[in-house]
Amino acid sequence: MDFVSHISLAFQVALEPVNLFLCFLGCLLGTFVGVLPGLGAAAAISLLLPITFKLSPESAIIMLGGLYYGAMYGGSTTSILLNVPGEAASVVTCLDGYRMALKGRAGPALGIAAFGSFIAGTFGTIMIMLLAPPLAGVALKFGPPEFVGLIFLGLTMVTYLSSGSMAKALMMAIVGLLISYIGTDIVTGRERFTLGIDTITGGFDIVPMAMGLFGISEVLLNLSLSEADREVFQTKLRDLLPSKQDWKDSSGPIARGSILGFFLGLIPGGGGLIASFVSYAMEKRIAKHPETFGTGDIRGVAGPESANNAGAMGAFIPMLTMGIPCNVVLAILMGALMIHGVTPGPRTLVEHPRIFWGVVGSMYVGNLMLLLLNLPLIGLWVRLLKVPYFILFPFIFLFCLIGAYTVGNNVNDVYIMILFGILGYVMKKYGYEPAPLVLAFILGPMFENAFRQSLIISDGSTLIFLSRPIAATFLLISFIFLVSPLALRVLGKQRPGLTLKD
Amino acid sequence: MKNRDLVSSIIWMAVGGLFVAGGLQQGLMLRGVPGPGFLPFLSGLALIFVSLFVLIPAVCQKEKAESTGFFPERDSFRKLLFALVALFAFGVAMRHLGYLLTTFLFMFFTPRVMGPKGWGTITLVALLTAVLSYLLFVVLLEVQLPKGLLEF
Repeated sequence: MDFVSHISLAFQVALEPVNLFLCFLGCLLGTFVGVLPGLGAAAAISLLLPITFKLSPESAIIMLGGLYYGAMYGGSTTSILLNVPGEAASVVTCLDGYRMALKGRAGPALGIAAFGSFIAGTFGTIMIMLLAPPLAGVALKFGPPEFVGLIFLGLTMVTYLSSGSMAKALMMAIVGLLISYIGTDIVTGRERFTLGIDTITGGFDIVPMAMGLFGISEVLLNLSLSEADREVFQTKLRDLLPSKQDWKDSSGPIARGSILGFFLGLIPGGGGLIASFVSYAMEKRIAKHPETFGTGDIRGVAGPESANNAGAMGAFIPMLTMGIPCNVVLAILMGALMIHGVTPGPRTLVEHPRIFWGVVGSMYVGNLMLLLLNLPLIGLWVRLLKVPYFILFPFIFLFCLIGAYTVGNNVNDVYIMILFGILGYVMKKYGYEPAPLVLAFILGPMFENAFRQSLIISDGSTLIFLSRPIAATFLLISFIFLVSPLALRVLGKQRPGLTLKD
Repeated sequence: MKNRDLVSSIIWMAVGGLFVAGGLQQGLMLRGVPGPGFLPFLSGLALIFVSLFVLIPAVCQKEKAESTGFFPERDSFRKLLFALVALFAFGVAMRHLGYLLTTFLFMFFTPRVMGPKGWGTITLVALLTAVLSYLLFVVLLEVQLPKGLLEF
């Protein structure tokens, strides 16, 4: 009966006219952002965050959620037509999607990507409805030591799963924690590391930081390069509906991708990106003729795209039930909820059921909207790709500038954003990823609070983290992931990074 | 990447050192429980330690050509400088000239970062952007943006 009442509430909130419109707007803007190379979901959510300030918390998160999985959908379009991923999680789709387009099969590639994403998204939504309430119940049993363990595990996973140097990713996670300490200490009320600067007495805000690190820095990187001629694939996009054979070939990958993607999305550090890579590797491994992968095999599109979207859905569960965002996009979404006065956690389900179930209901509605948007509007998205960059980038700058200013109606936030933009540019040039930094920044206050509470409970003894089984388990797993690259190096093997080679 | 890893790891070690010092100053323990400086101290130490994993390989590595330059094209530095000046100028100008005028000027001049462009298109885009964004943010979304010279 609970399940039925939950579904009823979910669709009751999601189908309210204003929420329906905002979901549509989020999906449309998300697809738009996903289509444009260079501007990922994290930057897009940061840019559009200020628009949601006037909305209710559930409407804001519905719109931003639509943006998130809309970006996942949109990223596949440029992967297939341009061989340029519009979104990091769509990198894998380039391998076979573009090859299909070269063979004159761009339509079926786009079609199966859209249908696969819809099926996986629907599966993910149903799984959230089933798993979220019991998981929230488990999370209620967590105390401060368990949260320390879980957050530590999350940060470890993000660094372990980074595509570049793990040491550098770990350094960025630590830097994110350090930045989170700047401001006023919540326990003593004392200023820390502010250097007497009034602007940062309350600490840094996530909006200017994220906009700077993802939006401004990305534009600066693109500006520093010459505008290469982008050959937009000039194919007549007929036959967007896959054939019977396409469906027969794709049904297995879609099913496997949906399940795999969803559960990978639950893992801190997971989400769509790792799910799409793992799905591709798995499909290639189990295929009878793996040599066809990379030459235009539809399974190389169906599996990863399904896993990508299912992972994006699964990633919502830890954020909504435990207050632990799995990736940087959800960290920013969580920051958005906190701006609206809602702190996600185990009690969200009980204290804010409209927000929780409204978001879940809008996922289903959003997935349907995206299926309807992506296929008929493909022509429009292709035309968008032809907009010259000299027109596009000032718009991105403008959105960032307005967004940073409106956080506190303070021009100093604009300067902070620009400084983080410069930092982001330099970081990327030196091979440091901003994602672990932002995730750690969001989790930093929670981590410190839980850590200090744990030591208060134990009268200063750190053994509390080892004497509590759940906390100890999380810390043990984290330790294994932290030292395994070193151990593998000693044994002469590589850390299984995000590589597409066998 | 050798030189960049060397320089960056030393910089991050220095940052870690600053937080270690700051943490000690704030106080590690307060009446038997962790004080405001405890985690900054630990995190600073962790940053210094992990930086060694970048520093040591960089020191031992043979000199290799960087895969991409810091300013990869001849005019990269000029374009980036122009873009940054435009961004800072927006912040300064908005307070005095107001949002509408500042946005028009910003959208008029910034595209020229990428080289000379047709005045007609740029002027039209700048005008439309300023007006439409004003309508969207100020009128529709009631966002408080500075009024400046034009008083709206």
